[in-house]
Amino acid sequence: MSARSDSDFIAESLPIFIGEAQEQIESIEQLLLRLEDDPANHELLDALFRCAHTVKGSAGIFGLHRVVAFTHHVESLLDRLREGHLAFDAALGTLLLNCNDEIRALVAAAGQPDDGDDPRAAQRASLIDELGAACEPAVADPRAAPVLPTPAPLTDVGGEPQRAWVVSARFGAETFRNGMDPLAILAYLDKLGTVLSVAHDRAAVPLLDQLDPETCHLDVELRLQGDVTREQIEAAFSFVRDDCQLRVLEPGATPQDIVRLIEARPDQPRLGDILVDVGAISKAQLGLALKAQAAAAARAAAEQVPRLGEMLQATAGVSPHVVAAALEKQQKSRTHPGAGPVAEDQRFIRVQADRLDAVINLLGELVIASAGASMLAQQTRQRALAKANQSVGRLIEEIRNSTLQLRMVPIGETFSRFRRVVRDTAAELGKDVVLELQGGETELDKSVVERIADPLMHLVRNALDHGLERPDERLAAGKSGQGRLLLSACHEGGNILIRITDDGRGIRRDKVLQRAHERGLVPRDVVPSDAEIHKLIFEAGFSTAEQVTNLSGRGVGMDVVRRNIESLRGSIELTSQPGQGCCIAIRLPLTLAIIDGFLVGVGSSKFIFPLDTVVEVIDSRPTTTSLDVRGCCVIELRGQVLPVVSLRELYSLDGEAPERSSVVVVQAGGQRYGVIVDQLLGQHQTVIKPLGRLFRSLRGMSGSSILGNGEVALIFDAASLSQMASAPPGTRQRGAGDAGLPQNLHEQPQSEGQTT
Amino acid sequence: MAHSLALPPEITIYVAAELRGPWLDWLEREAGNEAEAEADGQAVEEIDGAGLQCLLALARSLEARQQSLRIRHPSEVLREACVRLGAAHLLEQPQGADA
Repeated sequence: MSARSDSDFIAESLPIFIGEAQEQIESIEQLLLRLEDDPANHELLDALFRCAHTVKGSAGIFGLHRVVAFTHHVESLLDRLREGHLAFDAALGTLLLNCNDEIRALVAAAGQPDDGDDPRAAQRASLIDELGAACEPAVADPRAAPVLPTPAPLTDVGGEPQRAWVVSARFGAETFRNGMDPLAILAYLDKLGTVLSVAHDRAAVPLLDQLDPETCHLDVELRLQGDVTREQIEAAFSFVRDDCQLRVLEPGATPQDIVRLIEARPDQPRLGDILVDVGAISKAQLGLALKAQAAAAARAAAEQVPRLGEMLQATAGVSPHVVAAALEKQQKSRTHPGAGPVAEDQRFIRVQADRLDAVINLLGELVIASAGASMLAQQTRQRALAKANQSVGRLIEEIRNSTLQLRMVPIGETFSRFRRVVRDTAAELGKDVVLELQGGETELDKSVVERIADPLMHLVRNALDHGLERPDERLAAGKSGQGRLLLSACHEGGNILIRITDDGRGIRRDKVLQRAHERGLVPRDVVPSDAEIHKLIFEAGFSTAEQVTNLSGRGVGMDVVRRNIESLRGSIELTSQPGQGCCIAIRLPLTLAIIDGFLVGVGSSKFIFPLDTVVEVIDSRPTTTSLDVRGCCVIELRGQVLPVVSLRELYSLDGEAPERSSVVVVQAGGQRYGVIVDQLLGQHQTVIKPLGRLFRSLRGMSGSSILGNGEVALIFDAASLSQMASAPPGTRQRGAGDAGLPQNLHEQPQSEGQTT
Repeated sequence: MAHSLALPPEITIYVAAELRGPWLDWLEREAGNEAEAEADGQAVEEIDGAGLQCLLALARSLEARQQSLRIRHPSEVLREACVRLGAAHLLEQPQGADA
């Protein structure tokens, strides 16, 4: 490859490397945090080591020397931990977390043009010193000094007294470049059992003048005795597994076992290779047999040359079944060349997010176009065409669902980022807090996940800073010294519900109210309800912390959190019991792109309710005339009182109300209410478009959509529509009036009515 | 006149590329043509798989010239690495051991 295309390749692949490295760094952090809870867990240490290795290895490929050099020191410490020379403790955990932050910064810097400056050099040097010091004590302590392996007897090939595993590994060419060291793996095997003999294939290593020192040519075969399992041996190679040809042959494996291995392995044309690969014979035995075969060929005519299979049966004691199975396999692979099995590791494809977005945008257009086609078919009363359109529509819906599914990611990854935040923040504040995570497997749209992370971070910090008390305060209040913070997620209708719950001091009403009075958010003579007081916290310019701490008082108020969540078409709600804690519930739509909607008409206007919020509809009932000034009233539904609001009145729409109208029963945030509309137009695949700047101030709406005929329909946000309908009259600037709807909405029992 | 090759303290992937040149020079100029060419391993403090592979390649180059590499005074680190990879034949054998 020319230097030019090399640099092109690197430039193109660097963002991929950075993305992958960031994932690894994230995993390292999570593993370290888990290790703090479970310091003896060897698997965690192994995984940790593997992650660090991967980062170092791929950084090497991109020539990111600072990353490689620094990660190397981290790896040395991890190696000592893994080998049991050091025990993991909180101090090491903190050091390694700090080092991981440093790696993160280095990787991030890799994306920037290198101006030769290295502002973090001093900090890095001090971390390296700390790492070195952390490795030291074990060296000074003679009891913990690494035990050298007993030199293996090298002349053990002749007799066959002990039964042992035969492990043979041809390391991949990229092994060194990936930051792996075969010697470390052999050292590890040495701890698993007793290495009876070890040999490497000398011919596999090229002459020095032909050697690329960074390409690995090592090919090792060893015999391992001891109480070990195949899994343990294979696990030793897990870091290099991808490109290492590994064969592990059990002590005393039966011919049947070997036949099974032969059948399972990828196609290979040469009999000897097949047998060596499954471990039926060792390479040395194959070499001997081939030599003998060559010698025999030199002596005899071709037809009398003994066949390799027969020779192996004779010299290496290979069972005839095994040879037959290998020959059959060989035959098959000769008759079907190139029909190799698809590699298993190709189950995942990394796709650029913008390509996916492009597909989803196109899909949106397709949905609209298809709606137009079906509408046309219906208008022209072509039944066959309408039917054809119906099946096209169904297919589009399936494509839509599976395409949107592609963007769904579990929220757990975002959640687990908070482990570190909670750990560090609690330590900084002198608090003892345990973080619990629930429902991490709940999926939602990637773009939502990305945009929810910051608001969540703010809320978590807020809970740690203002909500949870210090241990002495907690004990004085009769609670356990350790505070509890719970992050949970679950699906609720078409929404995801994220809750941040703490058992801290809760919201102090009087303080909030006092502040609200001071800031002029509430007139002095008004005493709002609890729910309204809690809402005040999300108003702009509101902060109750007596001291602006450097944690949550960074100028980002709860109002910004609320705005961010509302911009995602979500809502936020706070409930609190003084002294018992506080729960913040965030509801977010699962996706921002396309939803199932329910289309309704009022006069000449069309509106869409998200289908998930529609509980049932009451078709064609006499139009209610007893509306109050805000267009609200109550109706009876199966013996229950249901508050309803008229869209025509609420939005002052033109046109006379028809004689009969319909009611859409909508559920939002635990409340149910009816919406009076003129026509029910049925289910509609809705491509969500943002509202234009002019309509931003329009309340109760979350977006717009283009219908098949080009008309624009506004999409309701059920939660804010409910709030709007229940808001006190003054705030809606719709004149005076004070009928019972707000109270009704809030006091409505939630168990009323059945769903359709 | 053959000169012994002094192995450096670090023989790892980080320096492997730099070692290759001087070692090739040594092969050309100083390894002589006796049956055994000597390297001195007492200074080796750190060696990894890539470094050891360089040594093996050096041994191979010597073999191609009908010479064999003999590492005298191997440090403990170097001895351990050679044993691990089944390359103990390169080491100077302790008295009485068979080759």
